[in-house]
Amino acid sequence: MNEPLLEVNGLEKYFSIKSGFFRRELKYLQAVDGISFKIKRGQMFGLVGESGCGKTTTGRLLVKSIAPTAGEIVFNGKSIIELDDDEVRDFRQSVQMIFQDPYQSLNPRMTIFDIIAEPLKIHKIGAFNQREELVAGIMEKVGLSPAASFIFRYPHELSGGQRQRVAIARAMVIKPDFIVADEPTSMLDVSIRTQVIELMKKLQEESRVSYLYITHDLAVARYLCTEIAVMYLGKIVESGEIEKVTQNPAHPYTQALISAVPIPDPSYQRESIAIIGGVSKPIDLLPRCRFYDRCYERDQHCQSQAMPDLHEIEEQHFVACYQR
Amino acid sequence: MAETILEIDNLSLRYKTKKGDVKALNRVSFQLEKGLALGLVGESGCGKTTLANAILRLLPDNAEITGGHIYFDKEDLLLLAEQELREYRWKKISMIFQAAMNALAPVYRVGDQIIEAIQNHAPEFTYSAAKERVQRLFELVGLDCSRIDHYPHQYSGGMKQRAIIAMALACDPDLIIADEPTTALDVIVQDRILKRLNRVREELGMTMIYISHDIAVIAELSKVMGVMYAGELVEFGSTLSLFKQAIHPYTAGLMNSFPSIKGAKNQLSIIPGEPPNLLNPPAGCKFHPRCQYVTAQCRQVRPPLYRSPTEQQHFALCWHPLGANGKENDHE
Ligand SMILES: Nc1ncnc2c1ncn2[C@@H]1O[C@H](COP(=O)(O)OP(=O)(O)OP(=O)(O)O)[C@@H](O)[C@H]1O
Ligand SMILES: Nc1ncnc2c1ncn2[C@@H]1O[C@H](COP(=O)(O)OP(=O)(O)OP(=O)(O)O)[C@@H](O)[C@H]1O
Ligand SMILES: [Mg+2]
Ligand SMILES: [Mg+2]
Repeated sequence: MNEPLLEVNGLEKYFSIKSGFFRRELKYLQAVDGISFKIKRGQMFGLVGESGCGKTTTGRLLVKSIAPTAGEIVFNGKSIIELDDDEVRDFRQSVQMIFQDPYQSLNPRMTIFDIIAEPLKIHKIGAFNQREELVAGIMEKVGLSPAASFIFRYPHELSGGQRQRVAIARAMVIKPDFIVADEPTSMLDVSIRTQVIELMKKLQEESRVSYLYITHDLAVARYLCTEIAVMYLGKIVESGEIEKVTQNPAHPYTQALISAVPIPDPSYQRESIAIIGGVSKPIDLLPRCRFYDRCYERDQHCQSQAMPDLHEIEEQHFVACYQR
Repeated sequence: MAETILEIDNLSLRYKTKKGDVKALNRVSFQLEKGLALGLVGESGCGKTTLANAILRLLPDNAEITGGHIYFDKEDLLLLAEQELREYRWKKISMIFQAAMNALAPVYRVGDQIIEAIQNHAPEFTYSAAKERVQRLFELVGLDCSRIDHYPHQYSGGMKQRAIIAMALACDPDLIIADEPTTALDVIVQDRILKRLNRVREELGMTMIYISHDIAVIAELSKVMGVMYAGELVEFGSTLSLFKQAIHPYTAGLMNSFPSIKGAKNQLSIIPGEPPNLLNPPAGCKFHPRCQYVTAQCRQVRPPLYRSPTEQQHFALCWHPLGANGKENDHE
């Protein structure tokens, strides 16, 4: 129970890009740049940060949809990079990904039944009539009920919220141990979003599946997750127990980020920390703290030293900053 | 008693489509005091953009206003000819359109686009006067003046949004309507832009209608708020009053649909079902199929206007107002 389901060590993903006038110059975009974290069994782990910081790339690395440039991903005690064919099949059965856009992630030419049953087919689980039962069962669970009224429909005949329920049902039907949910509610409308958030919470509590929950919405991360990691330009700058990180952020970036989140309470006087500039692309980086250019607490040391590593500042709370 | 700058009176609008009429606005009424910021919230398709566009009559050909009045400074805009209305656009009322940051023309310098907008609507401005004005506007919205001669692709998303705001402020309007100006921007950028927009608004004493689906943004930005549902304005009043005691069950549910980064972690409440299709909206109260307090009356008759006992201007359309007759407001 205590040993983590997933352990990531020094994970890197560099994309090569062409730049320069004749696009001859080869450069590297350091999308994920040496990150480490652990996800426990049955845990909802949040990965937050602004657009382009490397969240989706991390998610894709974890489900083995792209290969890392360096680093190690240990799932259930085995490195997923060195799996043989049989093991890869098992791995694919134990991890699933749910995407942001339910419009694009479902095959428009397949019926709802075929979409949800497809993972069962691929992994040869159950005879046909058993599959019907499994699919009907999971559909009721995700709130696509009565299942009979949905199974012969196509994705375009469903609303956005219903489509995301189909995507969740498809991910859950083979009873995975681990799900990467990449902004699963960001395209949904408010009332539908809350329904889906509550659904994921309920399924997680019932099934003890582990989640990497990717979002840019810190309030949602706080609501759902027990631990989070905050990314900035390919690095994790702060991580730990959810209340510690969100209520008592330590890294200047996390402090600025959290102070910018609007509060749904008109009597609350929010003071935001002003930071300069915006997020750039992780190309041609100087070997120092990623946040240096925008930091309001930087000093000589920060300028000349390498990117700081995460260190523990209190129990279950880690930060990568020389000032802490 | 402060002066009313805008009054919407029983406004109804439909879009004609092949499948039938989309009843996008149904008898919307409210009054907005000069100098205030009004936040309009509601889910996708409830009619927010339609209401905003109707004020300036920037409507597609298939739209038809089927009833009501729009008074701006006591003048009924619906009675004005297109030519007369043009005098209002930009100069008295300006608009920041939804997804406007993609609307900057890619091949023209940003500064020139704003100068052109100024000269189109206020021909009395010479080129150099307009250029000076642009510099002043850039300072106002927090853009570096060296950016005036840059092209849109040299701008980040947040900078484009500031340029759009600058453009909307160009002719010093009395009312500015901002339709989701910060969706798709990161939270830090959104925060900076909203702070700036609000500061400029206060400095210039402008009235604003701010449209958003994010109740937290509305809570922070606006003194009064309106909640729309399925083409109707179901609740309206001071933001403080709505948050303290929502009258409409939809408002109460909406307020409890947003987790907060601060304060106690409350269980979110689920509003079951989905918003109706406006081709065929439900009879009676539009919210009745999703409402836990529904009775026969709700299914048949449009609810009357119920006024809050503690705040006159706070009202909702509901047969079973929360907080009335000792009924508990169960959003807490
Ligand atoms: N296939 C690719 N080739 C080149 N660059 C890429 C590729 N995929 C992602 N990137 C770049 O890597 C960086 C991280 O991208 P990623 O999609 O992981 O960010 P993200 O945190 O998910 O952002 P968002 O919140 O916008 O979804 C970005 O700068 C992106 O442009
Ligand atoms: N030109 C049009 N023709 C037909 N129907 C339309 C047209 N424009 C909007 N509608 C419909 O009118 C209703 C109100 O649309 P509107 O754009 O005002 O909603 P909104 O509240 O601004 O939504 P969003 O939050 O998605 O911007 C919707 O049902 C929409 O589908
Ligand atoms: Mg992403
Ligand atoms: Mg709109």
